[in-house]
Amino acid sequence: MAPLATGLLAGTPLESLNAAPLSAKRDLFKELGLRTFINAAGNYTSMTASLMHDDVMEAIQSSSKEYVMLDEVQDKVGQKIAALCKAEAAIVTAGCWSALVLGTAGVLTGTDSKKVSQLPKLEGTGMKSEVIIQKTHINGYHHALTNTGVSIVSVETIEEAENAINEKTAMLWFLNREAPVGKIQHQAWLDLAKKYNLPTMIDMAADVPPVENLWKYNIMGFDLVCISGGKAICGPQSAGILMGKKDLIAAARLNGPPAGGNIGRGMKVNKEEMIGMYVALDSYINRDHAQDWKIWEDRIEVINGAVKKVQGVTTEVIVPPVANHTPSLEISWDRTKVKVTRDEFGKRLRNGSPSIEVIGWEREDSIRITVFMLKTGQEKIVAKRIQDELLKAST
Amino acid sequence: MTLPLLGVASGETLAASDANKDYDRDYFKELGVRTFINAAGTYTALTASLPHPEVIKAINYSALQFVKLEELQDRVGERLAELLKCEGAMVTSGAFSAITLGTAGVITGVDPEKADRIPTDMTGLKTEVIRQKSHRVGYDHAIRNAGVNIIEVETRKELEAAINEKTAMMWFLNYGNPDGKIKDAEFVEIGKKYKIPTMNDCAADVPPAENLWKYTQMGFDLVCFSGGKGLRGPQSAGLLLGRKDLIQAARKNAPPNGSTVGRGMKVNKEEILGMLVAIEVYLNRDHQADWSLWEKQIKLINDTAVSIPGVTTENHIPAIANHVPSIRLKWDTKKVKITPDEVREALRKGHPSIETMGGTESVDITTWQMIPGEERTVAKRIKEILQQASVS
Repeated sequence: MAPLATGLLAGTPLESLNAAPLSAKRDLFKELGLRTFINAAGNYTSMTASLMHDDVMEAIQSSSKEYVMLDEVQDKVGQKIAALCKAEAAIVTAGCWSALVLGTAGVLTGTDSKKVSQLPKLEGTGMKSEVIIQKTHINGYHHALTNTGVSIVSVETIEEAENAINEKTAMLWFLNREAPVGKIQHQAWLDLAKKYNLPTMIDMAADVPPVENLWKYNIMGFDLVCISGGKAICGPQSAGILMGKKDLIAAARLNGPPAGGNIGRGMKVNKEEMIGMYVALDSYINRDHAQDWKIWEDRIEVINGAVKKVQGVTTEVIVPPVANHTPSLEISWDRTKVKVTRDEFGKRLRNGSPSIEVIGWEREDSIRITVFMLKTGQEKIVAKRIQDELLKAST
Repeated sequence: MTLPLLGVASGETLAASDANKDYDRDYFKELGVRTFINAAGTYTALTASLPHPEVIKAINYSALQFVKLEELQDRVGERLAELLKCEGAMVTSGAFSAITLGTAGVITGVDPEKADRIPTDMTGLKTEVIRQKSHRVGYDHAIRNAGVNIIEVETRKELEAAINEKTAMMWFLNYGNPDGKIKDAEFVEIGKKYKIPTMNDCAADVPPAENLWKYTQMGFDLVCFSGGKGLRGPQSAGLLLGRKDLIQAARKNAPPNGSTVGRGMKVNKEEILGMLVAIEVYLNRDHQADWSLWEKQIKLINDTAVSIPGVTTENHIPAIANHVPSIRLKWDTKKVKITPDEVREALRKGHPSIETMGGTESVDITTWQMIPGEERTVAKRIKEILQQASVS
């Protein structure tokens, strides 16, 4: 077998053996013609959500150097995470969605390997097949549950929920983000589950900060808690955490890798991500959160101060109550004075240099920005670019 | 930003990009996780392979900036397709994920409404995937995860009879090729005859490198590879290669798209770029030099083992999947009083710890995922253990 023609590769010739020196520094995004940008939007998966800190990258690098048993890493990292979050047990998953799938699968199968091999076909297996959700909590993420084969039963009131519970009911599911719009709040949901002896799961994907949420729902009594790892915690973007009752976590693990022949094998997490997730979580918990908040407020003020000088522009500082709970700034303009559509404005920021992404899909003649994913100093660039573009569009 | 990470992470004072430095914290040691020499091979449970240093460099690089995930898949997919001589490509969360996403794409096309319905509501969608009985393996669960049923056939006649309006796809397990009555090329021919898309699962089937394009060029519509085995990319990454329209359809079922069967199979930008670089590095390797290194390593272990009376060896190369020089150690238990299980356990518990494979009859070893030089330690430890158990 001859070495393949290097003409295939435009880049530098790469070395062949393990011990060979590394190739010259490459700018891969540039090579591929990819736009990098300042993230003034927030933790969106499609925008790669967050950047990992140096300690997480160091953990990823160091753990790439040795072989270990994947399950042992999951055991030990899980114990650490569980202790940090005051849960009985925990595992690192391939994101929050994966945590939802694996947790639901564990509830259905328990530790019965035959049942594990039967998902997502539940008919005739004797497994339970329904998950009860408040109508207002059905917004797309419930699809993670149906991936295991269950059907969703939608309810609005406690009375409806009690009527819906039957021998096929597997679990009661709660979407933390939509708690304010639901008729049934956390404790009532838990009381209901307790009354009928049913497991509960809460999805709190993007719901830190506040840091306390990491343990709040475990302590409150949810049997399973799912969280995204690559958002505000700044862990690997393809990682998440499933935590909760020991028996349910053990069952969930049978439905995921490294075990094969199950619903979750495709949701792979490697050792580097597991260690990286643990380090990110540990660092996040130990941050000075009050100081973080102050920094975000200061950044918002820098941008606010610059943009509200433009005639016809109004601003409002908004802190979402749950999910992405950080200071954000809504910037709106009077179209008679600032003559640009929201979409066009977003495009100008995107196509400028440096490129900036903002939230530009909520209201007409308005954008919203967050500052918690900015690197230090970028708030000044964002402030100036937005001010410039607003002025340019003004008469 | 002065956000002290306190005593928790002293790593922040180190530059992140120096690949040759030592690390301030040894997480495996801290956590009490045993590290070992991998004399077994590319097993997921054993973390399969060590990502190539160039891959780690790419991961470090890509961690520093935000990009659009879809744009990254677009560009990396184009580049991979060019390198691997196929129409389209995407990075997935492993080969299993590639199978599910590819199957989902075949079923839903690029229609998000359909992607939103599988695997529970298959109304109006095709629901059957045909595979040969001899290709039955735990990995076909990946197909069923998309909501379809598997129809088993043995002969061409049975296969042709099984095709109907519900048939979504025909699935082929590459390493099952010798065992099946219908071989790869004929399987593709039948697929084309009835216009049914075909998928080939080649998870562990490099080397040889040529396999990376052999099966798409043979006419399989979709081909799946593991990224973290012989390719030494991120262990949680894989490749789906094949027809451009089907790759587009598969992507509709994958992250960052929500409300899909594949959203839980997340790959981040670091893994996507790491996978591309792994392919580049792999294609540029001197595969002959690799092969002769493996042969020498196996020979060293062989010669050391057979120096003990009663020990015999079988040197073999699996025809497909983990196609590398391998060795099986056996011994006359009257002369060497220890079972293969006990030898494996002794290797595991020694220092350094060594993982091997095999059953009740033998201890099985490959060297291709070792750090070169480790074969000497392995040979020495095996000799010590077998010698100790030898009747003098």
